Amino acid sequence: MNFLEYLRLALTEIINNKARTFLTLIGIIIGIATVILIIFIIQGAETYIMNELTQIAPLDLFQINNKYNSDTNRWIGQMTYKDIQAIKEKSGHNIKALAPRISSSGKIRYEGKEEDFNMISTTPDFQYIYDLKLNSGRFLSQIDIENFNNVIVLGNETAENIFQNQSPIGQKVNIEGMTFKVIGVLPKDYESPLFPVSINNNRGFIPITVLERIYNAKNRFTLMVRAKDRNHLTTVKNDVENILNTRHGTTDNGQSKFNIYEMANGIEMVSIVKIGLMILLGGVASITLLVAGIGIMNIMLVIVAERTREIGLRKALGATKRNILTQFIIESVILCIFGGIFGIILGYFSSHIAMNIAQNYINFDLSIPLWSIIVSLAFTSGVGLFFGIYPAAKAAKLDPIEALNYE
Amino acid sequence: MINIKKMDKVYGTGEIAVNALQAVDLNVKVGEFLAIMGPSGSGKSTLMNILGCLDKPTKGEYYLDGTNVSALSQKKLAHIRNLKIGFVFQTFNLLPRLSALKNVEQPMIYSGINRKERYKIAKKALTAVGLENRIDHRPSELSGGQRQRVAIARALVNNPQIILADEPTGNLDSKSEEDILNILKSLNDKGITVVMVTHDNSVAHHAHRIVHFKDGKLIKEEFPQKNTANCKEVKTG
Repeated sequence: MNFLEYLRLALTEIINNKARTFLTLIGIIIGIATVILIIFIIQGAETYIMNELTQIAPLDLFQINNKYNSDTNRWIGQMTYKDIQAIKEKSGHNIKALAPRISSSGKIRYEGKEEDFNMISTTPDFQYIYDLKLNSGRFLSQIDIENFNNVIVLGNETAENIFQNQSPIGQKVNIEGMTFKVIGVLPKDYESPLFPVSINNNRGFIPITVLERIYNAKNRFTLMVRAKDRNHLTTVKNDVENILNTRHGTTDNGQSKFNIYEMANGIEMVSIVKIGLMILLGGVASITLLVAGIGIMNIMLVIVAERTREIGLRKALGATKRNILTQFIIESVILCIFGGIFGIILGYFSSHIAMNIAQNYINFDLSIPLWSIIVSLAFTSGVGLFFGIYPAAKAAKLDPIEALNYE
Repeated sequence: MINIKKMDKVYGTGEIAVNALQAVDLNVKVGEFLAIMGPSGSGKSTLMNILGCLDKPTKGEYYLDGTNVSALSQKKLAHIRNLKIGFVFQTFNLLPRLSALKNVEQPMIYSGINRKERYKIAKKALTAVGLENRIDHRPSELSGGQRQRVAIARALVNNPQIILADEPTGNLDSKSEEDILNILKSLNDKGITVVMVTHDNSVAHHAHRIVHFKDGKLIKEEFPQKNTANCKEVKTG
């Protein structure tokens, strides 16, 4: 006797008793619907919080600062380009981009107009740290770095303010007495949400070598590192810390000479909260489904009692104990899977309602993950199996003669 | 076909023990039509249960088709019930929610016959008992005689060697009774051994041989179709 035969027997019974099936399953349906709804809310909340966090900074980005002793006015540690080289060699495979940066503010002049702007001195890799796209022209190149070219890439606002309707590309601007050629402009309303500094448009990028030569400011940069993805972040962070500690040693009291900041520190917290919620959910779901499962066991016992004669007859017709056991276990499992399916449907609709309510307040997207559906079905099957065993064993153990004469 | 030697069946133990069968010897030949008679409590139902491998004797041996079935496991007994024995009950014992056809198919589910084949065999069996127009009817939509015919069709689908009929006409009117007896007789003519329990003398007289039970003992044997004078007393232990 194969599985399909049992399935047919079970379906016949379940379909013949629609009303009872439905009433029996209410517990399971509500249980599973609750699980789906809660999973949906947790997922939605997580997505929402993660989105908010990524607005602040890329999740896979961190930066390293030189420590500075303000009492003695001295640097405790100073990174060099050789450090960058060492980091690239050792963990380059886990790193998406790595760029030194010096931020300063200054005035930019053009034909008598003057604008305050935020100047970022860096290398071409900076573009990949923030996924910068250009409106026109190009970003800094390696040749600009090596040849100390006086070139600048402007934020849209700055470019508009000083050039108005003229094309900025190729124009010469004056910064602190030096002439720079404009080679590129960022798009208008550049919303790379990823900038660590709040002003997005009021800025300009120049080759870091140019700045270092002007101010004779070697080894003052902050190093920005972007891992290939968030999973590699911790590895890369640890690698970088080890490399720097090896190359520069530690302070007298054993501390690193550099500060490492992760740009999105809140992420870990979100994960912890999520795990907490999941455990809570698991608890609620387990209790609900336990109660529902006992309901299933109860109804299966009723079904077995009700069909005692049938069981006796089936035994007389040649059913083995195992046949009867399997028949009732499968009936219980199928019953519960029905409950699971209805529960998923109910959960889906209630999630939709919850989403519509939530969308009045925040930008909340519906996402019911496939795994939650699979887990729900697996769980209900498990409930059916577990709580079906006892009634089915009772059925299988029935004496055929007594069962046949049962009134 | 059936060989029973010194069989005892005791229900319960100690003071409440009931001797349902005592030292019963019974042989049934292949192709025989045997009727078992006796008042209620005479042990005939117990004997039928043992013959049908639904119960085991307390003492003694039961050989069915050369196999000592009193020594077999539950599982093997189920297979024997499935393949060698066809049951016909007084109360028909049809599954109320299934059609006549589905009811007839049930034994074949346990013998592993596939769906298409089952359908064909069941339809043929129902045709053989004259119910080809009723295959989709549920038992509640059939008369008593028709229900018993469905039950007989069900008993036949696995080609059993023996049919055990426990008061097959007990719940039927005289017309249906005749139909059922004719069907049993025609099956017997085709070589199937039939053992039938009845308390109705006229029904029993359709058999080749009648055995009478009382208080768990086989007390009398008669051969109605040859000559009632053949009737002889059987010594019981």
